[in-house]
Amino acid sequence: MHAASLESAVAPRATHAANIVVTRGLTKQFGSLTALDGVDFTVPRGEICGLLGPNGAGKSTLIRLLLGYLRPTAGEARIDGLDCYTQSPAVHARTAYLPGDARLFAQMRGSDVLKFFAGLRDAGYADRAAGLAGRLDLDLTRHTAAMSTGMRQKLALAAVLAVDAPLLVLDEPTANLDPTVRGEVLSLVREARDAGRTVLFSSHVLDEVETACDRVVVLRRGRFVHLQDMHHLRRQHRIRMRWQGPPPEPPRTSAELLADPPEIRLDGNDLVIIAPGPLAPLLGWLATLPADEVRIEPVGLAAVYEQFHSPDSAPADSTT
Amino acid sequence: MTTVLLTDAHATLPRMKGPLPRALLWKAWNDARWLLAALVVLNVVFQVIYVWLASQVQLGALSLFVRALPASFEKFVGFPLEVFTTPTGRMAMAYVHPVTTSAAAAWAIARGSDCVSGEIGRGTMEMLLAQPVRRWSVIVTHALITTAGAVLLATLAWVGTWLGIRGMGYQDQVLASSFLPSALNLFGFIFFLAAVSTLVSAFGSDRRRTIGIMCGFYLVQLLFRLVSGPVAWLWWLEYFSFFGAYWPELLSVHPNTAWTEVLKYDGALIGFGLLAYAGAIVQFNRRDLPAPL
Repeated sequence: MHAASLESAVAPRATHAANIVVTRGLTKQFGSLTALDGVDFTVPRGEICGLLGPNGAGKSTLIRLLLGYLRPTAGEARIDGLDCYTQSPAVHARTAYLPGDARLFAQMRGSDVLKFFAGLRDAGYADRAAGLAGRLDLDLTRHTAAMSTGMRQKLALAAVLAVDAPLLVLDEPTANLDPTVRGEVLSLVREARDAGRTVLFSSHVLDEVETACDRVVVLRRGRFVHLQDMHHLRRQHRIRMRWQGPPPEPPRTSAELLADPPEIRLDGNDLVIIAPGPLAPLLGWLATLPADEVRIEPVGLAAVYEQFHSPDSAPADSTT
Repeated sequence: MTTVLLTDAHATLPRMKGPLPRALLWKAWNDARWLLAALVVLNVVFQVIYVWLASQVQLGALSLFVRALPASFEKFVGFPLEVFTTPTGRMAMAYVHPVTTSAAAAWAIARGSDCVSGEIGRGTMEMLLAQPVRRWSVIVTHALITTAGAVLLATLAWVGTWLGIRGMGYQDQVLASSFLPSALNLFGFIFFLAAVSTLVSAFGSDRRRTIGIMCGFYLVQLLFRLVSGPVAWLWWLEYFSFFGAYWPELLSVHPNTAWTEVLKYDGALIGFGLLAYAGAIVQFNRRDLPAPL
């Protein structure tokens, strides 16, 4: 399926106004290199949308185009109906952005950095930023030059998450953070979503994306290759068991299973069953199978990601 | 621990600040203040010392010898030797002394190169431009602080001269006001160089590269002036060097024409400087912002 049709297939209810981010045929070329190739992409309001892909897949280019840092070679990107390149200051008033490698002003103390951003934002910013800094256990009296990488990342997070904007764009927000603070950051991201904001979340850490996101977009070589509804994925399970003989016929014991039958295949001496929906209707049928060493596990995002980014993968664009 | 600090974004859409947010001015000042303080102290102290040194030189009858030197020698040294024959002229040489011009160039190139390529090179432009600020306002606020610094440096150079004259008890022989056109010319020098540095910076992503280009530009411009005097057929090179509009030592010794001349020189320096700033704004507005290395 071409990327253009991903949007209509996955978000058929989303109208233009319901989407805070809309791109149409968005393309960016650097000389002969096409970093992003005709991307059509929407992010509905109030959801956490993950961006997945290896280095060079086009995630950062997409984000930089959304922020108006790069001029599109073709196509357009809009946030809240505003052109990301020609109206970038107005777009930035509606966006909070955490760069993948957030670097702050070395001459300033942590408190000065927040004071500086407060001067460019709304009146309540300073209080929110100070509150977040406390929550992230950050010492604001230090010069940023004297801060560790993790402390600088916390400071950048406090500066960004305090922005009262409808869209948060977070590029590797938990990089360089210890596990406790990572958890806190993911909580903050979910709180933002619960407060009605939209979050664009780019990360290489699959379990974070899996935990936090409502939808995940997979990029490869500058194109969108897969759009994954995470609520759908979380319902899926993989059942693996020792098996001899040909694979069994799919069960037809209920209307649910008839409508959405499991995928069954042999993998060496194992039988693998992918259950696309709730497990309960399958369990009775499973009990009748002459199986040994049965393991049931969530399918997980790693399996989806590997479909597109394992060394021998070359699947077509798809939507789930 | 789990207090919700993130409020409903739809209730209060953030508004943009004015075109020149005070925070940007504060940041530009914060970045510049220590360099400026050091250069101001250097400028004042050097001018005082130079006036004292100049007051020690008594040419006496030798001034006739200096006046008698051939015109070709004047062209070789690059300025009229009559400057040396008066105390005012000798003191005015401080404004073309390498210490003064180097301090001026240091301020101009340091500030200009920092504006775009410095922020991009350090990776801080990402966070800066993620705020609701216009790209041109980054350059304009930076330029305002740089220009204010140039005013301060030029003014305090004159203050240093004034302090030196008073300190040496020369106020009866030398008018401190004679050096005001020289100080104004010094301001034009800094303004122009800072603007060109900003223009080069707007094209780059590495501050060291911008500084390198500007040092090369400065030396080539200096060379143009040096060869345009002694080499008759290269006279026209003076018009391609901004040093051709920087004659503070002559302005002091010709008080009758000093103000007319300095307006001409500074008109050219400030005019081309404004063009360079406009070019920097256009370039910065249209360029891609690369990811930090």
